[in-house]
Amino acid sequence: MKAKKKLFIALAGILLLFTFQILVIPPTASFAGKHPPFYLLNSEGDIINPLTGENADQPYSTYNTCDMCHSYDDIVQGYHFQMGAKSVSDHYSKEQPWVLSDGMFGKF
Amino acid sequence: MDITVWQWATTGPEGKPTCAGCHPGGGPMEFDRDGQRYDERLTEKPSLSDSLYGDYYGSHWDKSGVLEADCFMCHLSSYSFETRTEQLKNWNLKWASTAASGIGTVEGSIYDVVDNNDPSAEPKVTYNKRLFNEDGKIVLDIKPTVDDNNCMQCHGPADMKKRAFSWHDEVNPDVHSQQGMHCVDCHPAGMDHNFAKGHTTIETLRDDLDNSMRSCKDCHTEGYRGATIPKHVNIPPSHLKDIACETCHIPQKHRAAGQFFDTTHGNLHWDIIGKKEAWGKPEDWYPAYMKFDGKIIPINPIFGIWWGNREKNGIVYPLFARELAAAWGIYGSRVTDDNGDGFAEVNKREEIRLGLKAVETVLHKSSRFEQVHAVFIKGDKAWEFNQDSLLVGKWDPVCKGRGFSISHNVAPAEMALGANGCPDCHGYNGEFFKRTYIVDPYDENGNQVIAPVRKTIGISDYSYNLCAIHFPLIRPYMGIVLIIIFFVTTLHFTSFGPHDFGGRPLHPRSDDYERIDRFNLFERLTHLFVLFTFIFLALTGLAFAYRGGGRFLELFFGNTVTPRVWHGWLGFVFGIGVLFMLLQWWRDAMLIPSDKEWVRNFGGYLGGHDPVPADRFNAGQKVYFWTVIIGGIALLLSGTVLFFREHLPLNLVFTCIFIHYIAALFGVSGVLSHVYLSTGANPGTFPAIFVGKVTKLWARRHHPLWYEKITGKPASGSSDHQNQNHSDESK
Ligand code: HEC
Repeated sequence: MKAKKKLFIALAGILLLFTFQILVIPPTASFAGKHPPFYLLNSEGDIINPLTGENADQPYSTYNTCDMCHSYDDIVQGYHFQMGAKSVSDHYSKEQPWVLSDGMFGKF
Repeated sequence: MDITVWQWATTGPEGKPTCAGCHPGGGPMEFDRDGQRYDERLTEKPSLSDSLYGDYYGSHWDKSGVLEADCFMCHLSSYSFETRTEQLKNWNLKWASTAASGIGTVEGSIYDVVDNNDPSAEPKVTYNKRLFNEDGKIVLDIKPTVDDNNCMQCHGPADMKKRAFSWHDEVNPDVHSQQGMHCVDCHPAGMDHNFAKGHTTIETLRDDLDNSMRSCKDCHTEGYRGATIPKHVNIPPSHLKDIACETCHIPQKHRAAGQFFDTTHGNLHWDIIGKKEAWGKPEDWYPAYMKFDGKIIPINPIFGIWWGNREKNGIVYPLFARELAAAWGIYGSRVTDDNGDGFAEVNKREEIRLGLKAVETVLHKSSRFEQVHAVFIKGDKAWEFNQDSLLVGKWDPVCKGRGFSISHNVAPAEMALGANGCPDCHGYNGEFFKRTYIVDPYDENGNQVIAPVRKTIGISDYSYNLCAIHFPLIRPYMGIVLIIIFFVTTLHFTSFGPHDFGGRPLHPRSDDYERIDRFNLFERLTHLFVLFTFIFLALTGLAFAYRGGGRFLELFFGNTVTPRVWHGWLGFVFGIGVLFMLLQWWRDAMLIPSDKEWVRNFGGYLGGHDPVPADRFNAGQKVYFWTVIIGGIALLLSGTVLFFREHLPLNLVFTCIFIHYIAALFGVSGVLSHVYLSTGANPGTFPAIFVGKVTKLWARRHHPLWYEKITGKPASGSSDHQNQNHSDESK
């Protein structure tokens, strides 16, 4: 009987430690391969719900939708989006004055 | 580009597929140059679309909406680019992502609403309900990274330059793609969405990010993800420094690329390698080269035939397509197609004159420039009228050759240039230097003018040939010459034995075994330095000359760089030693009349019974001495050039490589014979240069004149007898 009790305490202890370990070190925080479900929002920022028919004939807006959780404004600073538009200036290049930016925008 | 943002976002010029089919929205597709959203501002102030404000002129942003950044273009592998283009053609800008991502279908067309005044055509979305949870939330397979396929949708077709279309391409394979690598493996991006990029030799595009991508070295020096760590044992280190990896490892391309374009008719007329009708068609071709950032890189030479206007400040401004089209309207009918390719090209002086005048006529109609002075740029010449209104064509900085750097389609290492040894590039059939590029697509007769690629890196015909000649003529024979010398000396030894004049003893004298000084300590030390350095230089030099020699070097030095460094430094020690030899022995090495007799008797080496006249050095040694001096100085001078090769013109370096090998070949064969003659062939000689002393007998035999000079006694003849008799008596 005594032995059984000891075994139980030992096992319970291990289990407790294990649980505690999970709390301290949570499962890996990186992208697990599945994107969480989210609501689509239209250009007014209203929810689109095709199941209830709410705004269901309107296109979704990436800006409103993704910006709920991701920083849209930061992302669109990337050069695939800006194409140099941010740096357009009449004085961008002295040697080639017709080149106005460091991207294809404002270049010929 | 001479188009408005509205045209850019919708139809593009001439109703061609829209630019925005690939441009992913956001930035200038969303906000005008004042930072306001196009749709909101135009709704507020509809008159803008009738104004000359370029961001609004002729636009319908208020109805179409704007193009917000479409994340799904990259993050959804099922994205349909065709659907996007379809939507854009219908001006359904804000509907494009919904339709192309497959989240819903879109019926209707803003184009019809506006242009056909049909309000019922207003687009409507029908969402694909299967993608939604009961609570109305959407579930999508959004990728954290980007599939190659998504990249290639845009970088494949539109990109005649970087040619991503040949990634994962059986016709144009790349070892990395074959190993399952993806675009973002080398071009990663973080949350800032600025993809790591290489560099371009042609355009400026976020130059601050140049070379931010993962380079060959990043993976191949550390073995990242199992990348092989190449040792390049048989490649001279200078090559690794001066030549980009891609240059040797992308020996050939297999899909046609553009080689030049001509804007004369007011549009882009492309000429494609292999005269293909479109780039991307299977076609084998070899990259050309250029020096970029201090390294030789492989390029697809692309240059433009274009028209510009030289402003007051001297800068040549390119002209708008519409200006060139207008000018072509004036003179085009008088231009003939000389090469029969269906494209009337401006190449004769008269045609250039007509063209320049027509362009100036067009430019005079606008006030775009302070000064109207047309320039025609073709090949390596810029044509314009001088002060006396005479047509002149000469090189101008605007003609600078352009090439697009090549970095995809890396071949297996066994196919790299140099995998079969130096002649891959430097030999007579070395394609590296033989490759040509187009200097001028059509000269006055319509013929293509080409030049060898080596010109672009400053290698002249003569130095190229000198370098090329030493591969078939010198290198292959180095080993053979050595073997022949071994064979001949052994044969000689076997036939004639040691050089003791037919074995006939000289009349012995009592002091025959007394020793006399032959070389002083300084002479011996000089010889020793030259001897040791020579052995090192010859062995390592031979290893440099042979493919596979790298393994030999590795065996002794653990790497192939150390012996090269030592070869350079010890070369100087050797050279200085040779100069000392010159100083200490030149007097003894001057030819004297009696040397003729030595030569006539072949020095007694082909038999003969009497000692032949020889001073301190015999005639053979003298000739050998001067060979060593001339060869040694040639090696020293050419070696010095090679030591500083990085700072010297390639032509000089190539010439010196040739001289170095010739001199080395003569030097090594000379030394081998010298070793035989001073050991096996002439017993008793060898210690002289180390100990400094020889016996009187040896001196009488081999250098009688010298013997007589230093002892004052005759080397042979009566005094022999006297001495002999005398010693006999004393016995
Ligand atoms: C309800 C909040 C929410 C919304 C709305 C949302 N996401 Fe996410 N997204 C997340 C979360 C949470 C992750 C997972 C982050 C992680 O695990 O690192 C994620 C991850 C991603 C990733 C992977 C990024 C990475 O580096 O791991 C992409 C791409 C992405 N989202 C795109 C989008 C796009 C495009 C939209 C708009 C259509 C969107 N998301 C809308 C919450 C959201």
